[in-house]
Amino acid sequence: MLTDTDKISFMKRLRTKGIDNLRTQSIIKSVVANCKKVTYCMHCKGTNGVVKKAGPLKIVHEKFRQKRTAVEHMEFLNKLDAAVVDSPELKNVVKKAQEELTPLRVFQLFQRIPDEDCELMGLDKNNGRPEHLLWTAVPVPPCCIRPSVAQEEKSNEDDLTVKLTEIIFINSLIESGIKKGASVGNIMEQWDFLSLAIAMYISSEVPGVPVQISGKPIRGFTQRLKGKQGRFRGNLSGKRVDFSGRTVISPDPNMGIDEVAIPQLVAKVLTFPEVVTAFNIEKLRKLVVNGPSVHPGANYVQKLMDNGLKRFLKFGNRRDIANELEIGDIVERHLDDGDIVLFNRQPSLHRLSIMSHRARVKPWRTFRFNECVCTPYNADFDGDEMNIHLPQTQEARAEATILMGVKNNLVTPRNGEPIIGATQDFITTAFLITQKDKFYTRAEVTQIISYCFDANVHIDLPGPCILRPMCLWSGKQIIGLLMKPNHKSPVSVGLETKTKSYSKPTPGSNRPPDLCPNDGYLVIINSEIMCGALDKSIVGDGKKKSIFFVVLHDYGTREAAEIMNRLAKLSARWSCNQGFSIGISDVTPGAILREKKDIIIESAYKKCNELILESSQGKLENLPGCDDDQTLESHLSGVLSRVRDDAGNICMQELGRHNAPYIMATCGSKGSTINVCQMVACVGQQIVSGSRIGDGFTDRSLPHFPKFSKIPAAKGFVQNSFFTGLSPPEFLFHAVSGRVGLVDTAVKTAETGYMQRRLMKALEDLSVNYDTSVRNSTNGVVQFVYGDDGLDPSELEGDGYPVEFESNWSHIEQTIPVNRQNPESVPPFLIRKMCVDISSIDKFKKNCTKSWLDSLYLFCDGLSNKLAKLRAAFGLPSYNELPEIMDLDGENVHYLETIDAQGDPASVKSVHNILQVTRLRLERFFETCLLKYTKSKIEPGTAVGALGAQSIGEPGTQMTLKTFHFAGVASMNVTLGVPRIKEIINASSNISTPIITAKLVSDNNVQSARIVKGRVESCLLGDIAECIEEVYRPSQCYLGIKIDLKTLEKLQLELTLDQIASAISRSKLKIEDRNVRIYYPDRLRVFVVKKDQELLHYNMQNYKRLLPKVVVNGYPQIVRSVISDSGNGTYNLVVEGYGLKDVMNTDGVIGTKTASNHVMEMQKVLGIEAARQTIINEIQYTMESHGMSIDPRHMMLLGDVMTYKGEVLGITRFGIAKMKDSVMMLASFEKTTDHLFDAAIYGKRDSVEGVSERIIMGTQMSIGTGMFKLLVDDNINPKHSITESNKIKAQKTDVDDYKENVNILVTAESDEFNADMTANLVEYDLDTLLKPSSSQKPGTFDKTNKKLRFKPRTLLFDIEENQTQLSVK
Amino acid sequence: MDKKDNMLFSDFFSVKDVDKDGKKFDRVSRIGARSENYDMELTLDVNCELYPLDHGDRFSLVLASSLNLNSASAASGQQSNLDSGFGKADANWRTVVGGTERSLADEYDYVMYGRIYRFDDTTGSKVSVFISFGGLLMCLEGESHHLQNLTVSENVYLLLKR
Repeated sequence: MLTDTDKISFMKRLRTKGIDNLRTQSIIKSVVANCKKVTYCMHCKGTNGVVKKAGPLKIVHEKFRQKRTAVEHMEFLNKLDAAVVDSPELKNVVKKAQEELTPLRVFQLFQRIPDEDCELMGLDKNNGRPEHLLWTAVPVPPCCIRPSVAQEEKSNEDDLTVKLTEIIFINSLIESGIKKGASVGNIMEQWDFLSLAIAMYISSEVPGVPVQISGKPIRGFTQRLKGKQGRFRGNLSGKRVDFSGRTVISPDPNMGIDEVAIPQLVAKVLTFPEVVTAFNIEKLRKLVVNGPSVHPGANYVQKLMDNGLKRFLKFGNRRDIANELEIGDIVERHLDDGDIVLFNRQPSLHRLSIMSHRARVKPWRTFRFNECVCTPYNADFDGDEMNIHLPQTQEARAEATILMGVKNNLVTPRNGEPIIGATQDFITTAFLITQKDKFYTRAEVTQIISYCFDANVHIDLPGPCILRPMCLWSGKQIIGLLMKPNHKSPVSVGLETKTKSYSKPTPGSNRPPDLCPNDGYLVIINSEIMCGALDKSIVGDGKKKSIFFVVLHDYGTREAAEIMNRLAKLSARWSCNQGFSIGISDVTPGAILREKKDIIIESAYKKCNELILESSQGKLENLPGCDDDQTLESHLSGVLSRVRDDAGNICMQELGRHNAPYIMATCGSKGSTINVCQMVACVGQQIVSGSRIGDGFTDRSLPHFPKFSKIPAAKGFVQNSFFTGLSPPEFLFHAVSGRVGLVDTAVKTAETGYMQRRLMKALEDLSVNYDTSVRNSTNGVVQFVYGDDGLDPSELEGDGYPVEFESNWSHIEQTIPVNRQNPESVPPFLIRKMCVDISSIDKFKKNCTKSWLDSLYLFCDGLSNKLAKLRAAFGLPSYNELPEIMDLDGENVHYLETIDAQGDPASVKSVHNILQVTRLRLERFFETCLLKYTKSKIEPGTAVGALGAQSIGEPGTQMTLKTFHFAGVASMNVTLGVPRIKEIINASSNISTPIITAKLVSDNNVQSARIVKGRVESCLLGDIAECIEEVYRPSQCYLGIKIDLKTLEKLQLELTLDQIASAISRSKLKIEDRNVRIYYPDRLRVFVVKKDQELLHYNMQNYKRLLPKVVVNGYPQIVRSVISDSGNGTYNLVVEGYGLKDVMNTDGVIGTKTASNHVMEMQKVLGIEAARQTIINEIQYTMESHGMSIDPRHMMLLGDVMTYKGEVLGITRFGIAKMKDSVMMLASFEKTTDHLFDAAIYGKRDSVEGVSERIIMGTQMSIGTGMFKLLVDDNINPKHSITESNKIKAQKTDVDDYKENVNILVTAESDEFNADMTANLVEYDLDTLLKPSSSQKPGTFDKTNKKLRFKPRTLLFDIEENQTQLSVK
Repeated sequence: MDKKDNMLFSDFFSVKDVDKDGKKFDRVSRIGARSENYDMELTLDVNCELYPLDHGDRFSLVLASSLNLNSASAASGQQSNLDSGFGKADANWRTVVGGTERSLADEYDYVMYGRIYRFDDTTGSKVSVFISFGGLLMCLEGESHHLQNLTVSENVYLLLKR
């Protein structure tokens, strides 16, 4: 259908080198589009029409649809005349006759397609010619694919077998029909039936075919591959595994955080294949003798001699087998204490859902672990079950402990906050024990401290805090000991922060934070608690200012885990003696509390009644953008929601210090103020989807209330507490919101689960490369430097920055004492110089970015300024600048000791007491900072994509139903929560609340803001017209419009009648310019053309109805706009609706500072970079408003992935299909068979590089530890083959070479291959190399990719074993 | 007997207020007091069960680096203690607790042991010293030259008597 020139140009484009899938597809598309336009074929002059479906399995070629083919059509019809003669009943239908494309016809057509045209259609002329797409024979899979199940006497056949028999049966029918000469109709019917049967054989969901009514639909090939249980997702991407177990979990604070108790029953089934060596042979012999039924035993023995034949130890003489055990045998021994197991709880939403623990075999039937580890698994003990897996090789174990070990995963990669920390009772204990008035005698304190340890640690008892009148130790000292049990322990925690119970000093009083009356300011120096009580913010998870986090970063994971273990043990034992329980007396409010609560509720009710009254009288001023009802509602819900907060605060004031709910709420172990309030004082307003309980009956919520009642009680305010009990209406309202909550969570889990899956599929193959770039599996660059700074979110000490200078400096101050003989105190000016001196050495220059070094200088500058100021305050020369008598480069630069020799000793002492910078401290400080900075750099191979997907998906599951939020002003709601996240990552073009935020040129003037608002907001003719009247005159008929000029003025619209007139003529009403006439000052006439006398009246009416809706001013896509007061007297314009471009170009708006929250619109108006930034900002904003912090690097990566192709691609099946080329990956995602059919048609190849593909193929993926490869230089005499004598030499060279520059040479014996190898470096996988039978011919190696690639771990071993096949130099 | 060596600070105080922010803890009261000689402000947490102080009470307060009555033994003790890693004041308490030796503590009613953890210069030339006795805080605010014997991060004894 194409001209030759077209053909050549398309061909050229298709053959461009390095073209990607997306572009090929678009070229092919344009080929098809071009062909569609052609009416007559260039070769045969036949007509080209539309090919379309006509009923099930029928395809029709409508050749003569176009008018100019009428001649041909006539010819075609004439041919059919003969048929009409034969059977006259056809006469009526013959006109509709079309050419049917039967399979046979299509096959013939396809065969005639020339090879070069195949290429233009994207087909492979060698292996994928179009006729190959049609079945000429039915493939029959072997019996194992379609097993028959034998049941008593009769056998049950597989669906496929059933279908096959059906096909054979019909075939035989047709055959006999042809032989016997059955009627054409009969044969045609059977023919159709046959094609139907074949179609069902492939897929039972053929469109147009009626679904089988009886029983289940049959499973065709398509159904086998499709869906969650299908081949791809059910058997290839995820497989059932051996050496795993599952049972109920239960808590055990005596377990270490990295341990898990495995029931003996499980331990006897899970085995580890341990190779017998000289070191373990005795132990293994004992295990073999014990056999499968005694716990530390073994189930199987594999003898080296018998080619790995397994011997089951249940039968036979185990003693003999044990004695025959020799080195090299493999014993499948039972799981034992210390073995590494993987522990997992579904849903595995982030990498912390699978971690490796050390096993401890224990009696009974549950898996038990420390409660601290509940958070990452999101586990509780109400019947949850968890899985374990036992890694089967030493390498797997090593990798599991290092990468997945609990200790190495104390922080979440989402934002670097600790995720494993004390929970519930542990926090309560820590809180109670550190109360200011907890004192213990020596006997008690020694007892308590011994709880923390297993009697294996030396403990230095510190001095009692009170010596006289009696010796007493405080609880804080015990916690101090827990962190640092003796003086040999290196752990010296330094921490200073506010706790949850910190009360702000009254303004004016300069009370230092330490003296908080609630003991709410925590200072820990050298692992001693100076003041403050521990609570959730200090020992819990999710805070960077926690003890565990500080220890983790200063002293490593082992110490942090150890302290957590100690706290858990202490807590379990101490609270057993102490006791902590809750009873009815705890929730009984006292007289004062009841009275205060009554007053609050009464006043709130009164306020509500007043508001309702005001509103009904119309006195209530409307909030911007709200009508009367909305205003009232917003006021009322404000008042009512305040009731619960107020009541809660009163509860916290009035309840005693020993009240259990109070303690739990204050220390954060369980529950909040609201929970306490609901139990003790008042349950509060019940809310369903953002508003008060709606009406279930006509105009009222329940028939107990008058219609249209707006009083609190009628709309779901519960004034009772759970203690007093709810009244029947209250109970109902509470149940209503309770049910909504349940439904919501159920819906959310499904939604977020799917979102997570999509995110994961889109981002799974991104990893950091050795050149710091983030690339996908096809080596496409997504980011040049991960997160713009190449830092690992999980290693960051601060919030988004790698090193917290402040706390590190104070840690240095605490841990490095001043050398009394030679303190070398540094004066301010010297601090600056030393900073530059220290950091100019190589290891700083090479490893650090300039911006980080600058921030370090800035800190030091602050330090020296502080010191200088301090010195000035105490009357000493500040030395902030270099004094004239000294020369920086010369010899006479002195430390403070020399300079201050004459100064007032008291002042000198005081300054030193407050801040003393010594040379040693400064040097150490720089060293620590550098160390922490280098540690926080991201490691090459890190699967940043997967981490990002998890970090964004996992918090999604925790988002509660709070779906709306006010954007600065009431009524301007922004969709939040899961729906909003979904909108963003789907890159939806239709979002529920598009909002444009515009900065105004004069942003401090409400008047001018109103004017701009008027320009932006769409204004209808109906809004500004006083009247629209029909006028019928003998000469003319028109609609008279009178514009209300006063309103126009009030609205501050700058509209002239001309503008209105042109707006009318521009509208969709198709009124011509000349038919709109202006009569000043305020009248317009719209003349109605009389085409038809009858229609005139109708036209008049029609126009009259439509005219008021004509937009005369502003932008039609904008719904409304609100002027928002940003608080400090400046105003922004918040516009709801689309039309960013229009708003930007409006006078009075600063276009450069105007943005929309709509990703697609931003792309359209401002380009792809703006779209990327919008994605990042919007996700960040949404997450933040739900109180979830996510490292910006994750969002950046997501933004980059969605935009790096040059257009915004949503994380949907369409977007992902554009991002990835791999068929297997797409097939394992969604629309499995569509992608497979597509791949078959276009003859696609899959390079098996991505994560999904590698999982399906069962090979190692190229990210993480699988990323690096061994390059082998084979320039060095490849012909040299290995002999018995140089085997040792070979090994030796390996080791030697490894030291210099890994140069190991491996070649196959084949000469053909050798010839190839001599060329240069050849990249090749050792696994296939070693299996010549399975690999392709050595000669067909890809010559373009000349590097030899190995799996390093198998290298040495394989060389020895396969020496006959390999030659090694 | 040379007391001067140990004594870092000593003065008479009179109680201004007790628990001015309300009584928050059962057994501990926060007293505010004013010094009689050096014009100093004192905030001190006291175990009021053991040593109740009331508004208007007058007491003498001493901060000492050790409880040794004789400085020679203190010096030798310090030497031996340095080897074992304990601070100067650190091991000192054991002898006092055991009651084997006569010590400074015997002369006082209420003795606490803790650490100077911070100096603050909130108000001009006046300095605040923060000392924590196992969580019981003491804040002493006054002219810097009265406090020049105190060094940050050192252990001290607090001795009170009426």
